[in-house]
Amino acid sequence: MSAYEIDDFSLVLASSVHDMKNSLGMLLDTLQQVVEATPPRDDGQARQFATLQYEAARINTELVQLLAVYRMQNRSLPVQVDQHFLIDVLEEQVARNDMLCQTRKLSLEVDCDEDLAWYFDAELVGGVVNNILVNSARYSREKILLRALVEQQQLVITIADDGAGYPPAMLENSGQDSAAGVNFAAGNTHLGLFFARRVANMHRRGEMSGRIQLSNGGPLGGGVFTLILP
Amino acid sequence: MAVSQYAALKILVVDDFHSFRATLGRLLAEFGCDDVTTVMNGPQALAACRKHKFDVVLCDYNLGEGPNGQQVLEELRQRNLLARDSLFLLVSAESSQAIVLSAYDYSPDAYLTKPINGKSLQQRLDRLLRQRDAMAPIYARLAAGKIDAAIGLAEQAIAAGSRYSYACQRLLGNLYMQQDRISEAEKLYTGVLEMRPLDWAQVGLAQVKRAQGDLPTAIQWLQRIIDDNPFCLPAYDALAEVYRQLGEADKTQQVMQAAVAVSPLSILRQAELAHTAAANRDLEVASRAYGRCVKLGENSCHDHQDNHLQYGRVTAAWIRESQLPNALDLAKDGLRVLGNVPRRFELGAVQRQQVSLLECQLLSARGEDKSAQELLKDVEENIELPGDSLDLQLDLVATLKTLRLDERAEQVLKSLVEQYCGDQPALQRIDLWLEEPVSERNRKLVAELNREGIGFYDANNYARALDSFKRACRLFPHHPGVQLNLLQALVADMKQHGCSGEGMELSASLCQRIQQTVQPGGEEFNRFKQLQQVIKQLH
Repeated sequence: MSAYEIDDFSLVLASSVHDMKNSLGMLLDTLQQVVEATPPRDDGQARQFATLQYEAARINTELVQLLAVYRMQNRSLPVQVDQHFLIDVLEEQVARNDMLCQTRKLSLEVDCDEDLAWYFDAELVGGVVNNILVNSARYSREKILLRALVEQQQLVITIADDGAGYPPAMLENSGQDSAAGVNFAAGNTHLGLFFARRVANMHRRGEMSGRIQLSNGGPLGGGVFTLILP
Repeated sequence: MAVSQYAALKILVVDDFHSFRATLGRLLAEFGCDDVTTVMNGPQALAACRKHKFDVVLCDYNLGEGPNGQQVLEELRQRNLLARDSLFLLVSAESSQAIVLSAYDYSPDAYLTKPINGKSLQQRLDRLLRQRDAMAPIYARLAAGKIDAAIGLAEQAIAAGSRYSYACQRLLGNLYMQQDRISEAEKLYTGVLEMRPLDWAQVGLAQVKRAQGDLPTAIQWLQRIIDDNPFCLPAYDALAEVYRQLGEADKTQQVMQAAVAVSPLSILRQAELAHTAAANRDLEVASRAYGRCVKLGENSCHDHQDNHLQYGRVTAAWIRESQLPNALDLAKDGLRVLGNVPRRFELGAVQRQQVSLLECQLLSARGEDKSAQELLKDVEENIELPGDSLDLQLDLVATLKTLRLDERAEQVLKSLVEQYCGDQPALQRIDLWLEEPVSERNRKLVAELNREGIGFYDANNYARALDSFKRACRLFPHHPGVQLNLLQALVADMKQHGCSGEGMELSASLCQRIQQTVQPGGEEFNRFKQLQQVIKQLH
């Protein structure tokens, strides 16, 4: 296949993803209306609605990330670095996932100095945090901790849960920007991590650039995702 | 924020989907907003804002037919229907960044991405309202024109370590520049840049350099900002401004073209590119940019009849001056746009005649010379010469030239030169149609371009010589001297580097134009004949 054809196909993919995202938006809206018009009769039905919403939202996040990665590849994704308060960005992600936490009976704790401010693209970094949060919600038992602090003049954002932790294969490849670990058969594309790595990398200061780390243990004994921005 | 404070807010929701309006209404009611007005589209939003002062406007980006959310915001601000301390939130299903780039003069206070839940909405509003309240005293001074007082308050807030110091710094930089307090602006930007190489502070510091008269440094810095971040639109705008100040018309246009490629939805940038390209006589770029202005203008408060007329004018000129394979389609589109003008705008008598003249030119381009002639006859019965506006008479000249009524065109030109003999700006515009320019500026300019081109030619630098002569030919398309010079440089270049299809095409069209103007017998005629001989041998 020539380079031209590959380009062409990724364009087709991108516009098709765009289309899917629009349809999904309609679907989410309609779902919302259905829930409003016919409130769940019992807990079982409430759980079913929650699952519908959660899975649709997950697809939505993935599609948004796919489009963002496509734009990064084409150098058409603007990065707007500005000063932001971490508490604002983190609480925004918590608020976004309010429903999810309620239905999964998760407690989400934010540990961050009110006055901590840093320089980054809030939409991209917010997207990374949201995505990791949505994933953690899946694997954690009852608690997730979001923490932001400055260490050695770098911003460190961690998302820790009390689940079983990341599998060893993922820990090994966590720092590399490659498609390693992608496993179509297992439904494990690691798009979220790929996106996170790219976003981290787009944040630079002098010679330093951002990065991510995966580890197990941490404050809650489960998986720990760390985003470090210079 | 306490529920009681939300109860005092007046809120407007704009969305074409009933369900979204209902959802937002319910969410807002949940945290205590009772005063919520909902409307479906831009015109209704404008009407609502004329009647009431809203504290918060939540507006969807995609509003179906009619203006989009960004255009609604522009019109509200343009018509002064939104108080400075009102919040405008743009809601969209897209990630905001595609829209951010289309914002030219006015950005919303925040972008919200669908789906929206109550908790995020409340949190966002809390944050924005807190900031609004903290900044309110500063904005009140600005609204009252008390700039120095506003500056004083912003300085105090920063010194006191306010949570909004960062926003204050950005604002303060702009205010210092506005008030010509350049050294204070320099200090502020330098201070910010010591922390981080932020785009806005880098652009600010480049503006400081410009204000200090150090234009080369300003250019160098702005170019570097653009290289690092091709999406930094303020850097393009500032760079174009510096080039304009230097009189570097071609470079101004290049920068504007790059800016428009990044933000194709900004009508004001398109219009600026179109004006710049038209002044440079880059008719292709100008025609396309005016075409986009017309399209984007459909629902924009920045739509203007001049853009529509200019589209017809430069498109007709482009067709006239080049052999275009798609001339018929272009002319058709020009006629379509002009045909809509009387419906869209209220035109004066002169403008109506201008539209007719432009239609004549485009009809002729479509090969409908007979209809063109008839239309021209109608118009001419109403034009009084001399005395009518220069714009109209120049359109008449273009029309006569298009219909190959050269003798009459020359008559009009002759009377125009007499009529405007002391009016340099008018003469500069008439020069476009003359063999030899008569205005002081253009006589100097054509001499300069010729001298520059001949210098390069004598140094065997044919590529640079071609650039100079091409520019001269664009600006003075009826000047036989520069055409001959261009032809000669082209021949020399092809002798050295071999014939190209493009070169042969250009030489053929030049020969055709020169043949029409050069009188047999003179020195120029002999030069032309010699060049034709050489071209034959090149084949």
